[in-house]
Amino acid sequence: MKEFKQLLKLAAIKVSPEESKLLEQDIQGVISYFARLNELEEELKALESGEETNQQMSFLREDIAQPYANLKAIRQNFPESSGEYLTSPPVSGEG
Amino acid sequence: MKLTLSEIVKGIQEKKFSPREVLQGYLERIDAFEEKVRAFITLRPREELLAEAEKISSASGALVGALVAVKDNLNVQGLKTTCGSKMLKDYQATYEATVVKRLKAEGALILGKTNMDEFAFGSSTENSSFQVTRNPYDLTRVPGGSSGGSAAAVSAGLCSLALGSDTGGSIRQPAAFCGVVGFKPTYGRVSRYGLVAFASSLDQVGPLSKTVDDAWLAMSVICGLDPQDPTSSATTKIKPRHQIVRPKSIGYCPDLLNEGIDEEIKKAFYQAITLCQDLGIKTREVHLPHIKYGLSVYYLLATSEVSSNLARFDGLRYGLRMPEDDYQQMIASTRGAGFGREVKRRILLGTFALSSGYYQDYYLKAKKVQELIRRDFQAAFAEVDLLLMPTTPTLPFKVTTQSEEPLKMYKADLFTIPVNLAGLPAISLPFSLAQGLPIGMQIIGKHFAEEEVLTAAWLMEKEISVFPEPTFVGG
Repeated sequence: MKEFKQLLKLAAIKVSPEESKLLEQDIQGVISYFARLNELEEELKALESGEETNQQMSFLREDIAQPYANLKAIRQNFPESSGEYLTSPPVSGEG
Repeated sequence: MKLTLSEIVKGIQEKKFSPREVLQGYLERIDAFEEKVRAFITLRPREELLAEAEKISSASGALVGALVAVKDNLNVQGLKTTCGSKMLKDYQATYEATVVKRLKAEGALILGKTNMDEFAFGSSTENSSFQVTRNPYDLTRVPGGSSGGSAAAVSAGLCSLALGSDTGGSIRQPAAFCGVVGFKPTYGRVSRYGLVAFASSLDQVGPLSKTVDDAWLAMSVICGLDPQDPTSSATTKIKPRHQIVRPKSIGYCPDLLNEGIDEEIKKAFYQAITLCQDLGIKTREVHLPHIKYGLSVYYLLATSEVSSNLARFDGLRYGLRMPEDDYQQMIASTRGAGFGREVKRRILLGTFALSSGYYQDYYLKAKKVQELIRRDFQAAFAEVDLLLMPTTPTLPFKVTTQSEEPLKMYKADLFTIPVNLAGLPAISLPFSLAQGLPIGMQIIGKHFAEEEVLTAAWLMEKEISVFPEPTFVGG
């Protein structure tokens, strides 16, 4: 797979070259299996669009923001923090 | 503990025994078998549990004295929610899942958190970062997954009820492997608030229990509208059994049995059809021509949602963080170190399916085939009230035999995945044993026909009478 390195970058996952090789093999195997959907080409033409198929999402309600009382517990889960704020390494733009 | 959940609740309500006595009985079972089965990631301290049981003694409620094991992807405030992952090994839940809140409000006591495949990705519970849970019927075999810890805990008698989550079969498949009842509700019937998302359009929370009545009781408590979950449905509560009319017809699809099914499973399936006929339920062949594509559809759609839902694990707000000098390097290193191989596989597959140039050919195509599968079910339900199929294509397999072969493992959910794709309710009922291992039968209903599914399962369960207890062989 030519673009496997790009895929790792898009997914923001860093792996060793050995693991990368294994993952690439796994994924190629599964993607080949997906090809069986091509057998349905003719039937799928009859369906107009993907959006219409997503009936389950049609009854989503709007989120309603609420104040949250347990901020202390949330802060305790920060991997690194300074006072009340979480901290992160600087963005160099070279990721 | 030989008593069912319903018997325990009734006994406590009638003051035949106290919640503390029940708890002590279960703690003895845990002492005897947890080391062999390894169902729990977290067990609450005994003194805390005993003190809570004292308080429950004076309480009332539909689940008074129920001892519940909760899958470790559901938040119980004050306890860790690890999702079976190194990424969240120290994450402390900051709020309570709605299902947990509802159980507690009815007098249930949370025993602890159960083992699972990492982020619920798997069918054997071997993908847990912490431990391998064993099948109580044969300790050399897997309990199924991803709710393997919950299924094994119920099967081994370590709790009176467990909660699991089911995205492609993760309640029903381990229930079948461990000889217990596993119920997956209609999408939207039970709140997902407080469940760590895997594939949000498919995830559902449901009970695992010893009997159908116990699952029914649990469903009557956990289902219902929740404003905190935007997909939660405003349907009525589950009706009690005496108000239900028995189903008249059940369909089955012989074509499904052509795809690598164990002979023992086929035999049990035909026995189940005969049992339905003996119960006066008409049986009829139906055709579900697109179900064989369910596996491909599921692994395209679910992994696409995974790639989005798991983007939040970036080392910033919670969980693991790997030391790096650069922001993006930190994220990539954290995800590389924190996620196991199956999680990486699924994120990468989903990223692939959604990426430019492939979206039309993969994701969009899968959405369309999902619609064909839904229509198959719709057509079948125009002819029959319910559908019957095996829960799993095979008997429980040996530990480590399939974990390195993704496709082989994915096929363990062959019969359960289509139900999630169509958002339907389904139950796995312990039906028989072959080679000393449990076989589960799956009954599927129309949307929001939970009571019909439960009724059919209850009628079958009565005929099966007592299902053999686990023997803990192979330890």
